[in-house]
Amino acid sequence: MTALDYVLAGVLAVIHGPEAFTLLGIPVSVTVLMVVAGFFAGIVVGATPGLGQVIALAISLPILISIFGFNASALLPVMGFMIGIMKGSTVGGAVPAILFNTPGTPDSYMTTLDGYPMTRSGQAQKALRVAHFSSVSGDTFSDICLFVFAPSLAILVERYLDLPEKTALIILSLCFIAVVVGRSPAKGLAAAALGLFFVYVGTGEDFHPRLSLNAPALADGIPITAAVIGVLVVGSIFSELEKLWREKSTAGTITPTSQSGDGRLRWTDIRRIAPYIGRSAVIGTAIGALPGIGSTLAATLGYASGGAFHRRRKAADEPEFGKGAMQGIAATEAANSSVAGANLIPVLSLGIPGNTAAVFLVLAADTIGGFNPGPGVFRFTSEANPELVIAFGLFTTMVIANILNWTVGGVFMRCMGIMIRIPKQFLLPVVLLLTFASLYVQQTSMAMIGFALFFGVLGYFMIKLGVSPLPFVIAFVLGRQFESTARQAFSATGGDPFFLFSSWIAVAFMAGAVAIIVITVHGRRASA
Amino acid sequence: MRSLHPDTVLAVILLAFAAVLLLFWLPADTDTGLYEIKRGKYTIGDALAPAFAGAVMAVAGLLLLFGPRARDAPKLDTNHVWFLSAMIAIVLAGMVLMRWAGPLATILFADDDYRLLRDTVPWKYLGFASGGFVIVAGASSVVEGRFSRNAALAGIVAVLLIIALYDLPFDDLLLPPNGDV
Repeated sequence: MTALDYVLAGVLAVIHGPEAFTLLGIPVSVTVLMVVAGFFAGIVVGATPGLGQVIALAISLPILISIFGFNASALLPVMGFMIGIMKGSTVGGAVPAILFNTPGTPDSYMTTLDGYPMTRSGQAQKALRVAHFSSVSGDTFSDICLFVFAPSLAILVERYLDLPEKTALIILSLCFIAVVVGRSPAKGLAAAALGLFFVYVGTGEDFHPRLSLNAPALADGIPITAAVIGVLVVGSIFSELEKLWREKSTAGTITPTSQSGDGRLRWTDIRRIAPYIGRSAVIGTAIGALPGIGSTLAATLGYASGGAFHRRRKAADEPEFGKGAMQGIAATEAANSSVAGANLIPVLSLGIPGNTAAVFLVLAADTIGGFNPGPGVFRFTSEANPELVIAFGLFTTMVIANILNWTVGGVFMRCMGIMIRIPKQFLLPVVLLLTFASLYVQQTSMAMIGFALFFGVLGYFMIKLGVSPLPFVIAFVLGRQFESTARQAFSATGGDPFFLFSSWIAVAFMAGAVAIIVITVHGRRASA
Repeated sequence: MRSLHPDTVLAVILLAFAAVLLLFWLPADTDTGLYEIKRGKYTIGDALAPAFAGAVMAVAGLLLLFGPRARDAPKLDTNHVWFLSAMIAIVLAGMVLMRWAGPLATILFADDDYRLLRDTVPWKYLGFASGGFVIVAGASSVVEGRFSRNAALAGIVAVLLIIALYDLPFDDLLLPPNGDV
């Protein structure tokens, strides 16, 4: 098969897959239907304060698997739905940030800085339109980069990265995400170390399950979904509820947020924000393509870069960044949205998730089977490579989601302001129960709820102590792969204890890991 | 007495945990060391990866201990602990109800064992409904500082919604505790 044949096969796998129904005589495939459903569900959860794509992905994964089963034909509908959620929630995530000053995720924190002042000055609708336009523009740019560069990057990876280099790359990714995400490199390293520690409990190659304290519940290891969902979702719910409890205790009431303002996005506005979108899209895509790096860093860098540009270029009557500048929303939203597509480059070509949402794609592929993210995916062989067909199928689902985003996404996003009418003190406990139920149906064991509660408590402490949970999650997800690759590399090099320094690429990765820690710690020390 | 900086407390906890892990727990609870010899070849043992985690933890603890101190470093207070304890108690109470409400009800009011009735309405919903209600209504009530009709309504709606989402459309999905009993 040629490259074009693979592209065509991927498109056909999506468009001409199993038929869901016929619309005006045109058959609509199950995968297309799932992308559409996921997209709208994503906007709803993104726009709902307290929810987000992680919760939506966590809840939907077991449901989808129970519907479609554990076979290769389930991959495109399941992953299509998840990509729909990712795209929809990225756009929808700006809604609570702009209207209610509550960032649903760390990525949209910067959006609140200018979005909420715009809302207070009666320009909420305009702020939402700026966010939508910037987000979709950044996302589309990033997707194009993914389509063009992912196959070639994968081929390069396969050619130059052997087992020692892959081990060193995982160490570099862990170090990078540990020290860059969050305010304190030391706390990030601690979170990553905890993630590694917990993933090694009850696993290993010997008959005795290591570190299990002879407890049967730990003998099979800690379920990845319970740990990830516990730290990210349950911990966040506890933290949000605690904020509401304090507000009620101090102010006597929980103040609902009201929406105001109206405004259209005109051509002159687009011309003003376009340079900011362009800069941030490039920054976000570059950050997203690095393995293990999240969208929070991209949003921060995009905002900082846009701010510096704005100081030089702004007209006298324009507000500064942080005081209701629509360019600030554009810079942040374009940066954090452009990470999404590029993030799939390390996911598909290396199997290393760049952010939490990508973790669920890896999880889905791992659970369903038939698709192993890694360099093997992009092997253009004359015999059909089914994994490459699925990869191009995934690209097709992203194009479909982008088309939806450009056409109906903005309208649907602006309708989501209605979700604020549900008080968070009732909504969040419902989400908590839904999370527990979703975990239980996966493994039908009360231990799943127990694990989720334990890791929820850990996540709560991490949030309250200013420790980003993301390094924990990435370390937990990569921990087993790290150990397994290191074991293979050690064996393959004949038991060389210095296998991490056996080639210049591995040495460069290890030097990079040390350098990023030293530079970041030194930089924070200097700025303290 | 001057209170310790939150980062110092966290650093001490990390260092103590890393020391216990590396010096006591790991040697006692793994079969192989950092490496082992299998059929004349060196291979990585089960202790190496957790030892790496412990070492990184120790490095993080040292960086925290001797690193720069932020004046506004986030710290825990008694309110955090009180609120979290209330949440844990509510979830644990909900879990106990989920696990035992159904079997207890069958002992009291049914002729058969719960295991035989766990696919039968209303028995199969008793545990999830009662435990789920306690979690949702309880958490809402703690936040509001009182038990309200809206909190009870949220609990009932949540339970019904989740039953409608998972149990009614899918025969092979089990709500708590029907996979455990």
